[in-house]
Amino acid sequence: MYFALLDLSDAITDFMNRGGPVLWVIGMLLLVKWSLIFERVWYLHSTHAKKVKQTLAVWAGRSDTRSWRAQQIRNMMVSEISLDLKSTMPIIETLVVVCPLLGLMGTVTGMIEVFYVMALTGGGDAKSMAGGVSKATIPTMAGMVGALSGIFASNWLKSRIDRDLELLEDHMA
Amino acid sequence: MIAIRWLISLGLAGLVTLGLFYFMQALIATGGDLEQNTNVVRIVDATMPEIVMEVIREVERPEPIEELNEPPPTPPDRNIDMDGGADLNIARENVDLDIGLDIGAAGLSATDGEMLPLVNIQPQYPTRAAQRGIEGWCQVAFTVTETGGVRDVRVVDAEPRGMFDSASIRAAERFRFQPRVVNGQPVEVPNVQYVFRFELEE
Repeated sequence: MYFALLDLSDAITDFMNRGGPVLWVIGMLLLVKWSLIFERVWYLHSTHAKKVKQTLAVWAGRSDTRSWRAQQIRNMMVSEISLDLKSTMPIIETLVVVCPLLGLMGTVTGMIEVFYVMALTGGGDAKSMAGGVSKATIPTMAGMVGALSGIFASNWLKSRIDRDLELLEDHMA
Repeated sequence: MIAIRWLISLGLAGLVTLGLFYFMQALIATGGDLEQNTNVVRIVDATMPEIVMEVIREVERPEPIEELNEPPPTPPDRNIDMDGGADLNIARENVDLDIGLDIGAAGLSATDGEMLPLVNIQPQYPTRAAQRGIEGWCQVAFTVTETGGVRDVRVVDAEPRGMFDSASIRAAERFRFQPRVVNGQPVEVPNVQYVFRFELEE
């Protein structure tokens, strides 16, 4: 078990060294993005569920549910819940979009390194260029993987939130 | 409550991120260890202790029989001269050459005692262990086939566990033995044991 963990950490640090500094930025972004996602999931299952129950109880307690005024109040309740529910979604979506762009940035810096080496050695020395090439390609991959994993999660969250709000509105008819 | 929620989310996110990064490095992992220009660690050479090979006793060669260069003595005159006075009737001994050579039972074969590898491969010192200065040993057991090859290698015991197993198994699989011969037929020998010692040079 202990050796397996050592292996894992070795492999990852090795990978980080090959990929250059942009990987750390991507890693941080992934961390933030996934914590936001998990927080949203948690929120959906705890606080949000409670709030919906309360709102529905308040709505059911009203005697007047048909007038224009009541409809406006209903709209207000729904939007309050929806605001709370969607509070961090824009950040998540932005982070998903930013991931591949950061990867591209890593690619550019890596390529600059490659050209620099070429200028120094007069080209042709593949071995010395290899470091720059892997620094150019690995962040791209990291950005792609991050974005891909994020897209699934954020889309699932989005559809889940939309469905919940629709259901709420239906219940308050 | 909210702080706890964020903390737990952060922990889960950390796990996911680590998992993703591990997945990524697994995607591009190449079998061989590529030499990298980034923080190269000088690894000292690992040495295996010298294995003292037992010398199989040579069968003593019979000494060549000295050739008799002298011509055989002329046979004495057997004609008894009744007239002659002297009696030249000397009885000759039969010379029996009995050196006690018995070239029947002697044969060169390593069929008894220990199985010693004809070819023993030095295992690769695991990079991980070398970097951390870990030394140890690994005892493997395997079956020696009729052709002298090795199969069914398994680790019997090791210290530290799991560190040198794969290197030892890889090395043991490439061993070559003199197959054991019983009644002129090569046979498999199960459960041959071998200990690899992994020691770093000072």
